[in-house]
Amino acid sequence: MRKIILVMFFCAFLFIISTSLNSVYAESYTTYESIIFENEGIVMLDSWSYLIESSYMNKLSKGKMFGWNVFYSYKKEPFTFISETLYHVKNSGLKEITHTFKYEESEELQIQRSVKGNLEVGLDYTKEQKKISKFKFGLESKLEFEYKETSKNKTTKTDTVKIIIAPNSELFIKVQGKGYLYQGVAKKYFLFITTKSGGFEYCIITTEYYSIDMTIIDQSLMEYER
Amino acid sequence: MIRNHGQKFIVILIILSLITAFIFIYLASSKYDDVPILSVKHEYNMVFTSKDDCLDIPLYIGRNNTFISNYEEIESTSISNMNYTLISYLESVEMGSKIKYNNQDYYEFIFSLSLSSYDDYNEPIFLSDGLFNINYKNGERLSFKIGNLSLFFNTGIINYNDLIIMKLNAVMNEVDYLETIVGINLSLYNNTNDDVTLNKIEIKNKYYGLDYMSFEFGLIDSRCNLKERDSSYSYIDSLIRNGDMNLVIRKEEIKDIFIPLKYINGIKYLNRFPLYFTYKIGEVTYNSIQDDFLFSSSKSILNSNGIEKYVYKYN
Repeated sequence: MRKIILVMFFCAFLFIISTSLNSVYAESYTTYESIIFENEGIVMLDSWSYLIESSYMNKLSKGKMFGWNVFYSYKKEPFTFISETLYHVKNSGLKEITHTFKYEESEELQIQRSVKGNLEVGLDYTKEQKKISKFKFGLESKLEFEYKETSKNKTTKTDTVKIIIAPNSELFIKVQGKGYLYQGVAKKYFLFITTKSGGFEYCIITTEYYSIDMTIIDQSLMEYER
Repeated sequence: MIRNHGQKFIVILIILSLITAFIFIYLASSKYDDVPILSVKHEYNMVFTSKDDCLDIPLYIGRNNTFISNYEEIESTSISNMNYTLISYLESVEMGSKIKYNNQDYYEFIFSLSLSSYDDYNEPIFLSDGLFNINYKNGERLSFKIGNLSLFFNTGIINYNDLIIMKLNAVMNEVDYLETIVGINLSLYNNTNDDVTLNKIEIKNKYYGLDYMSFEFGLIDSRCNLKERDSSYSYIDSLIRNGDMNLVIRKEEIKDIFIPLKYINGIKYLNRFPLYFTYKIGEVTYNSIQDDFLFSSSKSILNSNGIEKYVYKYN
């Protein structure tokens, strides 16, 4: 009898933990200047309302003894994005300057993940001691990836390009790109009791495009010089 | 009964011996497994503006602990084709990402080559169907196809400040299942006290070039599909141009233009190149170069169309 009560207490404890946490973890793609989907109607994970989340949760198949149940609301949805400015240099002087711009190893991950509820994303290390982020508690292996990332992605190895910055101008190196988004909800069960529950989202960046964009700081100054 | 047991014992013994022998043979042979290696045929368009600039050549190797990628084991490197050998010094070998290709894991190794023996006085080097050769201290010599190289040596280019690039980006289209550059958007600022007449903007490559005579005023959407915009448009052209653009940019004026890029024999994956300007101020003709700019970077490097697979067999 005492054992049964202990098991019930343990289950109740797991249930409380599973339902009490509702945080959002998001990697840097959520801070992009803009993300435009080819298809309409996609709401990103961090903007989900209670209604959206519960409608997806209802589509999950019934509980099970152990393991994960996963429902995908979207799979491989193509999008384009404008990222934050990669590089910014200001030349307030009245003479042009030459600047060496360095493409450094990208800190961006090729596969970027977000979670809601009490799902978690954690950093792991590969055999080569490289950092890699993963959905925790075994969810990673339950999800579909066309491509398995095994280490942080590189752009090109510290590569340089010389650019002349016009007088009274600001140089911006901007990044645009494209990729695919996957999104859904997942629940983890232990003895038919939900222990983990929430929304997940991951996007796979396939290509980045770079552009030089220089703007005159003070147009009146240029006119004054004339 | 005893005989039966004896026979069973012998049969089990034979099976166990066979399994043991098989395990030994497997372990011995796996130590000297074949090593698959991938090289990517790429369009290298580079301007060497300083002695520190390096040519980075990636190789994708099926194992990360072989002599093939060990800097200490490498005696010398060179790049060559049938007609020419480029002298290079290996600066470093660095391991990059681990990738999957055709269900096999590969480790990316970037071989950085210094071409410091070449200087401003060197003529540009055009090397078609280049081979990256590695000579090892153990006597092995491996050669990998790496594509075409167009290399310029000019440490003094930045002295030409007459035309300043205010905007630069590539228009990329998917052509023959390959996303590549089909044009560039360019804004040029006249930084002189006179009118500048722009005559040519070139890449100087025999496989593709800017169709500068067909330039358009204004910038276009970098995702614009040129074939959808004009159904008669062709990405391939013989590209023999003799004329001048004669584009006049007034003092302190900014001119926005779009220039199509055409391929001569077939579509290639292109993501980086310099720009060579020919312009006039008064009656004097000038030339200047914009350092090679990386227009795009595909996260799946092995999506490009020129992958060569090699297998190194241990003797």
